[in-house]
Amino acid sequence: MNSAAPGDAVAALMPFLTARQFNADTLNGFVAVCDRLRGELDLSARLDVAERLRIAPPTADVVRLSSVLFHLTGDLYHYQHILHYLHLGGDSVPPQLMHYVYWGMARQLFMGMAAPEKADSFLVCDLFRFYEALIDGIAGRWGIVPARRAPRPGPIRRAVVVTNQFLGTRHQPSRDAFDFAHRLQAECGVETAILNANLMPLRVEGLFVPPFLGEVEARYEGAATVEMYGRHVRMASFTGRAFDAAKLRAIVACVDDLDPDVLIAFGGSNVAADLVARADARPVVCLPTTSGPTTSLAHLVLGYGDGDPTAALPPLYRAPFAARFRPFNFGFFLPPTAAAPGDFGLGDVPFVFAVVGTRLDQEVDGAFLALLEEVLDRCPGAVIAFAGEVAGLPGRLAASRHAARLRSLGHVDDIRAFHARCGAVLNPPRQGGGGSAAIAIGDGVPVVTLAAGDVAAVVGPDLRVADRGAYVERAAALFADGGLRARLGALARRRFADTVDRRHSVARLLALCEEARAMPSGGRDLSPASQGSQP
Amino acid sequence: MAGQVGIPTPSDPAARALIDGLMDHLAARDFDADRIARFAELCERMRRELDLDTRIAVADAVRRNPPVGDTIRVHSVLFQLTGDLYHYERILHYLLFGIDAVAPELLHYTYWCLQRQLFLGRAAPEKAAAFGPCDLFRFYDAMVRALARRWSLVPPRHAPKAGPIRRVAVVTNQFTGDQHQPTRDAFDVAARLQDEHGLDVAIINANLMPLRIENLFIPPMVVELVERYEGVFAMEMFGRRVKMASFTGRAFERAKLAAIVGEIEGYDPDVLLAFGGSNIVCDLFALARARPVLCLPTSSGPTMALADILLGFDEHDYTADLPALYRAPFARRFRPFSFGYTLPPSDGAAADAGAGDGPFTFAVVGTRLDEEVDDAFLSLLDAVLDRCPGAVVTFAGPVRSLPGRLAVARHGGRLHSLGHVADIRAFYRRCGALLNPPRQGGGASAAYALAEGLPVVTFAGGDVGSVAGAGAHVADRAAYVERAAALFGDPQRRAEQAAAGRARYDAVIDRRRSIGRLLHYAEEARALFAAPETPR
Repeated sequence: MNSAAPGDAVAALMPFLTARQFNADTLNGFVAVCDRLRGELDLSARLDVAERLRIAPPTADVVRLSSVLFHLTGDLYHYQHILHYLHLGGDSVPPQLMHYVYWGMARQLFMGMAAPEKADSFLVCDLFRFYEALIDGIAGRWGIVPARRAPRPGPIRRAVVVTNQFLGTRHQPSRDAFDFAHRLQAECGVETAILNANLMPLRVEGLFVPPFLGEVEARYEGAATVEMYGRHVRMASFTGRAFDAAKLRAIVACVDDLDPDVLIAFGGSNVAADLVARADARPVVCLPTTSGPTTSLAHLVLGYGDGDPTAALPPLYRAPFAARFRPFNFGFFLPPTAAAPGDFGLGDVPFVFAVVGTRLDQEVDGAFLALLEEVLDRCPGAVIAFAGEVAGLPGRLAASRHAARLRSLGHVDDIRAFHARCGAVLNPPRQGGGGSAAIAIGDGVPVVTLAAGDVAAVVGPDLRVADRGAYVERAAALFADGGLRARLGALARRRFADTVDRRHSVARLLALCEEARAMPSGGRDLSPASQGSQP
Repeated sequence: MAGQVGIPTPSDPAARALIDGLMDHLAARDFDADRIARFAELCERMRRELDLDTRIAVADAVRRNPPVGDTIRVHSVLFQLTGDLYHYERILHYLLFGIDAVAPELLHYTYWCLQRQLFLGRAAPEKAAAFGPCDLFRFYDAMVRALARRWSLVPPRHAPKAGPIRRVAVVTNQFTGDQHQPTRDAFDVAARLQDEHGLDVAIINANLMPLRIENLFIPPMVVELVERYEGVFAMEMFGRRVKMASFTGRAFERAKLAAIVGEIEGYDPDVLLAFGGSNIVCDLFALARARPVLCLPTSSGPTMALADILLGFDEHDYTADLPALYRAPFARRFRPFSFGYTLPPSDGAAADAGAGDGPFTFAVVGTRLDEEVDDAFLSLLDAVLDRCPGAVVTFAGPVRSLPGRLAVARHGGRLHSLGHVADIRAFYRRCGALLNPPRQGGGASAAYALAEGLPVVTFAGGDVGSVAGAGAHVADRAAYVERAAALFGDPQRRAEQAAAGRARYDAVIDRRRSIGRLLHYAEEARALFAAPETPR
């Protein structure tokens, strides 16, 4: 490595680190420089760059500088520096900045950008404590403290599913939120509404690099009935792009109007549901949409797949997670599909591996591409087809030595028809993607995955492999051995039917909601006298 | 403090009283040394008397709703209650944000207080692997840089003189006399360089550990200072003489540091030997690349130093075990070494150590036994005594609270505290085995035990683990009891272990063997220093 490289890197970053004015273009340019340096410099050169900038910071903008240093190195020290800075700022730090930074970090962790050194405790200690301070700050400084409601007698009759993002049929988490709400209504007779809070960041609030903005569907604004696959659920949507007191006040007022017996926080980091939980205003159950520890203040926090993620947490930080954890299986359902397999421009290719996801630009990185090349080395004539919206991926595929056998299809509407054309699904190392695996195993398509993340949780122990070597072996065996493919396909189908199918989950969810309602937590008055006096 | 939001109110009135007392201290305005001492004592009692869940609940409530904006006070206390390094991380980031504004004496005082608690093993394991080499080291580095910048302490660069090293400054943070182990070691290293290698050697007694309380860090830390060692004079110890320049000002201030730097400049050494880590004076020279610096750590594990070369306390390369992201600054400067010890003089005969002729005596030795002999170790000693009928455990070292706690132990009648013992080797000759508490320090106690043929029982970590070697290590509490019981019950085994210990002392620990190597590394530091600048 050229010893001038760190100096050149510092020089390339300097204009962005010291700039006073930013617009979307300069911010994109900033991210592009960081991404380029991350790709071009080896880790020791990047550590050197970070060291120089840490020792002689060219700016007092802590969020900007330290988020860049994390981005270059994966060193969580820099995120800790930001979090303590914001804690120490107390009332002078606006809650919208805390919220924006929180999501910026949570997204980078979800994308697996953190080095392992401080990872065991960061999420469950540092980030969780910051999230608590965010909720307390919103409650205290914006005065958003929902009023306590004593439970009505009798079973749960009314539920609200609070989600951070609802984008429609093409979006897996939206489908899942809708499906849970509809099943509670149709299978359990509970009057259920979706509250689409849109409380991921929707505009830039600081120079956290890289920025993170959620998507929002403006057409859902207000109260509406949403339809999906011919089913209907009521939904209230708040599409304002500002994260401010007015928006949160409106959301909390909406909860009071809907007056549910229980709130279901769909996914962690659910600010609206956690404001209700923190005030102990109504029982809140959190239903995580991903595996691992969940950032939530709900009375109960459910599991995602097999096992108890709180058991492996560092003992000092385990208690707030373990006490509220309940085993649960998120589950999935198979969306409607056309009767016949599709063609997808694959013509007469004899064997197709599928790679499926909504963030493939990030997830299909150099290391995973190298793994796929090894798979293709072992599977003459096979093709790998990528399904999911992408921007930069096709260019990177074109540079591969197997370019002709790597095809990006973009978004695929009927994923099951696509799976029907494929012999196996190859999962990138990633946190997310659980839905893609569930749908594949539901149709008996074997999945190859390492043992971590949502896909591993969904497919269960039989389909996991231990390391890269075993990954290539498994893929090659599925390519060459029709018998193995049939056996693993049957295993996959059985796993879906016995465990993953959401039919199994909804009655249990309702039982856990009743448990949350019966908890004598905080100051909620559960005495019979007060229940009787409730109109 | 009834009504404080979220503060737990246990049903046990004693626990409630402790928590109320804590809230009083946290909110109080006027402090003197006495009140600080009571505050620290209360925290210590809470640590002993409340279970961890209750302490964590108190810490969570105080963290979320601190009664006062004093970050140092609040978070040092919360660490004291829980061992959670999150709170020390908060303090360090807080000081980093003020690195150009906070009074330097506060940076320095807080650094030492915090470091002392780590040395005493008070940190829970959760964040411990990264804390030393990442958080603490980065803070230390930033602190030395801030001192250089804010106080203009940037000594000029001196090109190395031709020929071999002729003049060495041995810089120590504390020099208190021949009853203080690190002082004996610093003097011994200096005297051997002078007498055995013919070098011109001076000890620079910087006295740069905290000498007065600067803020409300709990617990406070103030170390001993010997006022009569002031100025330049010939220091004599065990019949040898080395010249020494001593700086006894109690304030950590620019004038003191500038005087020390000026003294070293005037002495014009070819190399600086930093005796022990956190050696600010040496690190000012290293940072400015003014003179070559070699750091000789007095304890095992990662050393806070900016020196050109960082020696090991023992041969094992601990940097290989550091988290990969934080390894490089240590790994590239590390060199294997063995600190080594020199036996202090002893009366030929066995002194009466209070144990009489009769019972088998286990020794426990240290200068911080009040902290190190905690309830967990006392219960381990009880388990040892259960297995060794008639044996006693005798404690050597200055203590205050220990005798009271020994008296209420299950085997109270078989636990004796002697206080300070002047002739430790004579004491050892009356004992059957040395039982080491889980702790970072105490290396010399083990070294002398090996030399006197006293087998050691120790866990693998810490300085005693380094000195006594793998043969003395046990894996867990059960194995600790087994080894102690075997040494008690099996004279043959004891004799074998004694012989192995003596052999280890002669071959590895005896400092006669390490000084030539030390000088060799000093030459290497000089060569590195002369080479074009490398990234540090």
